[in-house]
Amino acid sequence: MTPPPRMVPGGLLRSSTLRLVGVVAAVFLVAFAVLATAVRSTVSAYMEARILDTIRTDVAGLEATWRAGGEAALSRAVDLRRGETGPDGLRRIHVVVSTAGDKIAGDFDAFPNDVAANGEIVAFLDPSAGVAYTGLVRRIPEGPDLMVAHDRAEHEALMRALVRDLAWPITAALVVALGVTLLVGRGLLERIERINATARAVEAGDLTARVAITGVDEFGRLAGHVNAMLERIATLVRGVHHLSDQIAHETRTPLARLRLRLEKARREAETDPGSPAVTAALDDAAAEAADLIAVFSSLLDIARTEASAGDVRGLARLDLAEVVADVVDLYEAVAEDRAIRFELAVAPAAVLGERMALTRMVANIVDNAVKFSPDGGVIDLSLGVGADGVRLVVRDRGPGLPEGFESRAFERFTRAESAGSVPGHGLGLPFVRAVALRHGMKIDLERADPGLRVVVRAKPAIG
Amino acid sequence: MSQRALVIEDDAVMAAHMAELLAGRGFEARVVGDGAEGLRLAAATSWELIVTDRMMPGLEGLDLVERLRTLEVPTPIMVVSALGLSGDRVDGLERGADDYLAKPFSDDEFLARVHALLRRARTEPHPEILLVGDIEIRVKARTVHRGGRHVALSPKEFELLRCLAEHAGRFVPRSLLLERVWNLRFDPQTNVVDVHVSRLRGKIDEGFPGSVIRSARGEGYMLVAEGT
Repeated sequence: MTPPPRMVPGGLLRSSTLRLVGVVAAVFLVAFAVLATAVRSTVSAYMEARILDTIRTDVAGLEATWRAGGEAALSRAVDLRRGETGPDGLRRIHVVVSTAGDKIAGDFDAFPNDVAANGEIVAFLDPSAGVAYTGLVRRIPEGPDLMVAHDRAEHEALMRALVRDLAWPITAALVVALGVTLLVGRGLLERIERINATARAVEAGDLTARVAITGVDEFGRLAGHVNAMLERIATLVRGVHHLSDQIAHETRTPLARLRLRLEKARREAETDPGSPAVTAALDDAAAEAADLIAVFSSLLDIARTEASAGDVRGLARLDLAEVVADVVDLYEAVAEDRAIRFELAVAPAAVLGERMALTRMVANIVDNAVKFSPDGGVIDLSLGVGADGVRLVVRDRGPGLPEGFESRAFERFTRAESAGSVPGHGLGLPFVRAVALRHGMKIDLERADPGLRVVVRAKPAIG
Repeated sequence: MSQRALVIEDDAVMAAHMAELLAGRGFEARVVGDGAEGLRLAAATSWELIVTDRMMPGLEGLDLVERLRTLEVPTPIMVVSALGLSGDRVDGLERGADDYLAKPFSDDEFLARVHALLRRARTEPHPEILLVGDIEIRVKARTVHRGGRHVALSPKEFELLRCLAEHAGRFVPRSLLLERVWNLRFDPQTNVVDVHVSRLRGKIDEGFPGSVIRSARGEGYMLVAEGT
């Protein structure tokens, strides 16, 4: 298997940071453009409106002057205002012509836009000076034509100044934002890189590598999860090592015994081939092999049942009470022979499960209870559906578990000292737990003094 | 006339062993180690019995079974496999196998299952009365008489005796009794079957010398005509 191509850490950092900075810059520039356009059009429209107001006032004033003093007064007023700057700081020009089209007063010799209607706002160019104007035309009935205009160039210069004034602080903000993005981005990516470095170390074989946890934000939590995951993997790997050691250890003895028995059979056969001792030794060897096979089958069953945990295929709705009845039926004779009595309190309890596996689970629990019960003892078996779901309880009056053994009782090949001469390989409860896990059931061992109480909790099947 | 059996198994030791066991039952066994070759042979001629492994070169055992069933080959097929969880078994039976035996198995178990399989394949109507020596089992009435005297048995004891009687004169392994009588496909740690058999013995042998039920090397039981 070829290792996956590895990213150069610096390169990854740079490219990701650059992308981040690029995105921030682009977003910033678009936002600035939108803002500037909006500000410019708002300010421009406002100024335009104010200028037109002033011009309208101007026009109205000049008209009033004409009405009061005629063309002479108008001419004077216009001359007086020539070159004057309005209250808005803009230069204004005036033109007054007679109905015949002759100039009466003003900055231009001719009326700039002859065809403009009364009250029309017109834009025109002074070709000699190359200056653009916007003006209001007033054709006074029975009087002269009048126009007041203002210089657009100054207006536009003002708008440009506005944009210029806006650009500076925005550019500064952009630079600051990019700098901050660069710093923050580098910081975050460095934290990701620390997790990457840990993953690489684990990949290279160091299962003890852990991520240094900084902060309690998402990255801190990610580092925490990665560490917890690594811890879990390390525990599992230790468990597998431990288990394979134990399997080797547990099978050495029966294998050695098998060999001894076969050697004995050969010896007997060499001295007296017809001796019943040959058959006996061979039977012993076969029994030893059968025992070994049983251990391996149990290990395999536990492993495969554990592997199918969470897989709902093959699960069907069944009544746990029927399973309990089957098991009691199977064990009643054995129990009776030792004057052990089953006290049953069994109510129907539908669960989702694999019948054979659940039967075997209950059989293992009851088997233990019978094995460890004193002769003449009582085994309580109860099953019911309560507020906390289905509850199966098997209680014996045997020696129970030694202090603190409850947590280890589900480990393979683990047997309590008190189990003593009772036959078994320490694989019964591990299988029980594997089946419980596969069915999403919870199993607890409780001290009953005297005896042991095995409690299995399951979710009731719906419907 | 000797019966012909086809053994499809890639493990030479296992194949030879099964062939030998079948030979002891009067079978002429042909062994092949390849699934595809096995399928060809199975379809080409008629056999009384086909025994097949699952994981083999050429063709997977259950695929082979499925192909044979689509070809409408009616021969009883026993699958013998190291994949022995109840799910594997269900899978095997669903795909057309008549029986599914998990490896490793004892000789008695193998032979008892072959016997049961052939019995079923002969499509005899289920006998109404089973006679073994002076024991008379009326299957429908569920009554047992020995030497003309009625023997009262519990339902499970009746099933136990019936299963032993169907294989009378042959060893019936515990696993087969567990499966037929209790419908269990695992071996309980405590020998619960022994206790049930000993109770059955107590009832059936009462007033007779010896026992008609023999123990087989701690592996199974045999019902015989004469008490020993």
